[in-house]
Amino acid sequence: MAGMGTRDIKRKIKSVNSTMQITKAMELVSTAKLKRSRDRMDITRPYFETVLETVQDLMKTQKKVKHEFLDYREVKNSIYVIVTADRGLCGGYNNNAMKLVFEDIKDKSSAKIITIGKKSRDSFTKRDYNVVREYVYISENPQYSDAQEMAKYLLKLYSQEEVDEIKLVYTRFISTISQQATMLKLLPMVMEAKVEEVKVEEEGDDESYMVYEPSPETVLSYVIPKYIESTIYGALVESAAAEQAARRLAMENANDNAEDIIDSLTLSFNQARQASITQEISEIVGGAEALK
Amino acid sequence: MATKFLLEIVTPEKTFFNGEVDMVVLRTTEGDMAIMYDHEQMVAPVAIGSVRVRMQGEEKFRDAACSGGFITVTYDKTTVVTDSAEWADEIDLNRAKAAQQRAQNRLERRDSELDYARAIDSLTRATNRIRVAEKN
Repeated sequence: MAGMGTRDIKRKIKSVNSTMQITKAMELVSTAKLKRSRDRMDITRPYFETVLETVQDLMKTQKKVKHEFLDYREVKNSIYVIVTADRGLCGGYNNNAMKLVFEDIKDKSSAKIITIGKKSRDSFTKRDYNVVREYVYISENPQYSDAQEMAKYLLKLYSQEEVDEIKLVYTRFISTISQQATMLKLLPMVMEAKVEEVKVEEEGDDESYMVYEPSPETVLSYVIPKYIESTIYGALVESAAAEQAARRLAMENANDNAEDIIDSLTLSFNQARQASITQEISEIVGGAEALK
Repeated sequence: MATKFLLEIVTPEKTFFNGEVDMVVLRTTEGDMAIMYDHEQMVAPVAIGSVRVRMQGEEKFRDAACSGGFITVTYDKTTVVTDSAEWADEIDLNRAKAAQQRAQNRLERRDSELDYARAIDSLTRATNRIRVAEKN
């Protein structure tokens, strides 16, 4: 800050201060929104977990079931569903999710993309990716019908063999200070997760015989689309919470930085003021000395 | 001997019902089904229809409209997963009637195949809501 006059420093302090007011307001807003989306996440979780549990039980007990959604076929074309925000100023939230997709796509021509949120739409269209569908203004307040529509479209593409795998990229909400961009394979279904759980339950498998009405295949072809829907919905809701948490954190950091800058600016302001006083005194003393 | 069992009805919006009941009657894609205590373990798709719940010690059933999903019965719990559910007295009759009208109009026009399937779905849902609401 050397060389700056007191007036310049003062102006700078003022400008940082007004920026801080904005970031502070944004922090408060996202804190409130975060609370709302977290509540929502808690409400939707039972549904999501029940669907997941049912699917996993089914796969576990009915290993011989044949279904198009379970069969692995050679992956020629992939489709990515990516969940990001409509707005920026939320730290690495958008970029982290998009980076996962960029890194995963080896050949642009074999990848289709469904974007959710303005940020990913802009980013992928600008880079000439094949964006087949885009959803904007839903990420803050996702509806189940949005997820349903997406799932329907995805399943159609999948059964017509236009795509051979479906991947979902979203941001997991781990805690208010930690969010993690994750990629999840929706189809073909792989049940690698929760291996431990499966082992524990295996003991009781012989007695616990489950009846599937009218047949395991029918139930499966009903349950799997449900699973896709609820997973997408779960991802949307979780990402909404993660977005707010990321923004809150980014704004908190901005506030802290602004405070630091103001502190150091105030210090140099005082130094400059003191320096000018000292200089004035020495000028006066020097002048008086010369008159003698 | 205990005759009640734990029933949970979950929708994407919320856990609709969670408590101990005596009997639940609902419509699967294969037909109506009543579930009581100690039912065989089973999974079945649920059609658009009503879910009737009888609490323990009560005579009357509580009716709810339900728009499809599936039911999982295990020894310790019965879970109904559905897209939406509402008690008969919570149903917005005017809204359901408007939806029914809308779906009928759409069916008459018959634009494309996709619209057709969706219209039939929403017509069934609306008709079901009206039926459940008016029965009470």
